[in-house]
Amino acid sequence: MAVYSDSDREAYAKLADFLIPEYNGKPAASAVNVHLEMLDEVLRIRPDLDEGFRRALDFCCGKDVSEALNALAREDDAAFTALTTVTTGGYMMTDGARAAVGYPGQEASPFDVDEIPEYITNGMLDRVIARGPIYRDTKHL
Amino acid sequence: MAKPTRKNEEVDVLIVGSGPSGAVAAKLLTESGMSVVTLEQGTWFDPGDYPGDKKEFELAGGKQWHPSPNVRDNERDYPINTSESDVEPLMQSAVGGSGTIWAGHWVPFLPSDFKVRSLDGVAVDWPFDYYEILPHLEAVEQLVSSSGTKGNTGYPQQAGYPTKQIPIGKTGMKLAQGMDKLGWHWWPGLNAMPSIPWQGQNPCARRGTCMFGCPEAAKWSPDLVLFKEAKKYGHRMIAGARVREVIYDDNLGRVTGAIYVDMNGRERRQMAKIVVLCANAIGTPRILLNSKSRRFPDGLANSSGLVGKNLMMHPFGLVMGHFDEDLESWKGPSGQLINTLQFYETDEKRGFVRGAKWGGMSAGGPLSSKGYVGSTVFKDGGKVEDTWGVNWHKMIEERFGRTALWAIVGEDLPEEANRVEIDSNLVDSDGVPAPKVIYKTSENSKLLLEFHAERAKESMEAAGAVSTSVMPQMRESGWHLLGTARLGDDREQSVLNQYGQAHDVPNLFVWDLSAFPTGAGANPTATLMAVAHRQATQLIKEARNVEAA
Repeated sequence: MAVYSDSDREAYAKLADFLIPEYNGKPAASAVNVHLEMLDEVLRIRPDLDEGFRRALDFCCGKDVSEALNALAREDDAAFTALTTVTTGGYMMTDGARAAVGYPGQEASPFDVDEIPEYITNGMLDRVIARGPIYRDTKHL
Repeated sequence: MAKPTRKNEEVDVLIVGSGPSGAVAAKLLTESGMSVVTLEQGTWFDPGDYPGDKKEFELAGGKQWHPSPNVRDNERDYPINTSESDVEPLMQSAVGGSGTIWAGHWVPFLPSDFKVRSLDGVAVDWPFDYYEILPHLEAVEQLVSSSGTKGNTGYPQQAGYPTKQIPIGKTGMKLAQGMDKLGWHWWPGLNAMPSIPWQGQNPCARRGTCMFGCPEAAKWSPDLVLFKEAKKYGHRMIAGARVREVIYDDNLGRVTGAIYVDMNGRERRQMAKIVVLCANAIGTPRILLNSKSRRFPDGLANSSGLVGKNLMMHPFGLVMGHFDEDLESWKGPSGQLINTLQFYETDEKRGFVRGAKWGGMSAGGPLSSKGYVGSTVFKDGGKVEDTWGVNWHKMIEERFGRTALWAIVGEDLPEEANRVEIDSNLVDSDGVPAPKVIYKTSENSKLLLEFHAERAKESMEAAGAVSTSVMPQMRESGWHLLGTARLGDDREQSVLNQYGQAHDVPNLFVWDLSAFPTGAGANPTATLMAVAHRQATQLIKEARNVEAA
């Protein structure tokens, strides 16, 4: 895995905040450290993204962020996809971002298997049954 | 119980491939007293390794847990040349095969699926019908610890399921309300996962990560249950064993076993009286076409020339409805919440034949939300700002957790031009020639998907969706691979007889989806396992009469 310098991370933070800025109570990407430990974590999980991500950083280096990202999206889709995947992937793994969007993660949701479903009590499933079978039978063939 | 087999000893039955059909075969044949060895190219997965209960699950699903072997590019995968295919084949290389990462959707084929020539004048009839399969279906529904609600009006009456319905959740209820409003068929989802602890499987925890492997060990997969049971009766699994070819003895006129490459790269032989291929509809023709002999210079059991031909991959589309309400639409199972067969049967007025099943599902985690907008914004003068920045947040607010989807699985009709060949250059990590898939989506499939997508949009709107998104046929959607060694009564028009026995070689069988002469418009695993159960039952009954090696 490539080593990212402080200046690389600062440059990435600007790109990341352009993609995911602070908005309506949601933190900006850099506020949840997508450019720091989350960058390392994402690339640990997905080392295959490293090459495209590095290419995106190099492409955008020293350019106006909007102009650079629009040009990157048109000229090097793989690098743009790597950049956005690293950014959204890192962002949505943080507790701060998850809390802000109301996402608890793919948690287990135990249920009462004996609870009568609403579609039974309100007659919805009975209406399906009342309409009768809809398959074509083949017993005659 | 058969005596435990030793290395290289000739066994009664050699199974190649350990997915759902191989698992049924191993269990039944071993329990009947036969000595059975299964060769599996992949290795054992531990449910604890699956990413579904970890924060990185969607990131990992983009590479190491991706369903395409070409994306994963693991040493245990074989590469597939898909440069001439509209659809990317999906599968897993593991003990349990693609059964480790399937969604658990249990959707038996319908009566009409076995008689499409008689009913609709297309493709071919199967040599047996739905009612012959039904008792085998009911048997495997017990084996997979299914959960569901009896009485689906989409099917003839049947026995029911061992465990009760898993909740359909807010998302399933929303989808059902749309169907109810339109007076269209729907039914609570039937899944191959128990709602209570059952046969060693844990109850579904509704994590919604079935297709990344089930970390709860709840969703049925072959490695969890049937192979463990078969082991008690002396079954031997050889994992990491990549079959190079099935051995055919020209003098005997029989197959005598298989040559495989083990995990250390050493070539080995496993001899057997009977060989059963269960390596999927790309892996099985690959092995047959790689197995050449004096009698079969064009591939084993290929006197019909049909080995590898008639590849079917269900046309697959997604229609999403975005709602004002919080549906908690990351919750599972995924696993189908509900499904519908409303437009399953042929209606000539639609301009195409056959139909599709829709599976109602949750929309997944937050990175799936990124996929809702896709990359089309960069066409026609779009800008990054249209999708990212504040607009990305707004998209998440409007869609994440608030999206229900219909996954449309349509019927693909067999065409000889859609096929699996051996690629002239590509090889796997052991140097075994790799397959090439040549596949074009038919006009019938395109019309079918367009019609169904429009109806699915109507149902979303009836359910109160604020907006809808349609993802027409996706390239990475080749979950269901069928038809490349079809069974039938006419040996010039099929590779196998009705019991999955090669017309050309009496002790060679194919029991995976390669054998299916048509593909239906439904997820095939239920019928795959039921047919394998029928074929294994027949082999046990007729074992003394099989002309073995």
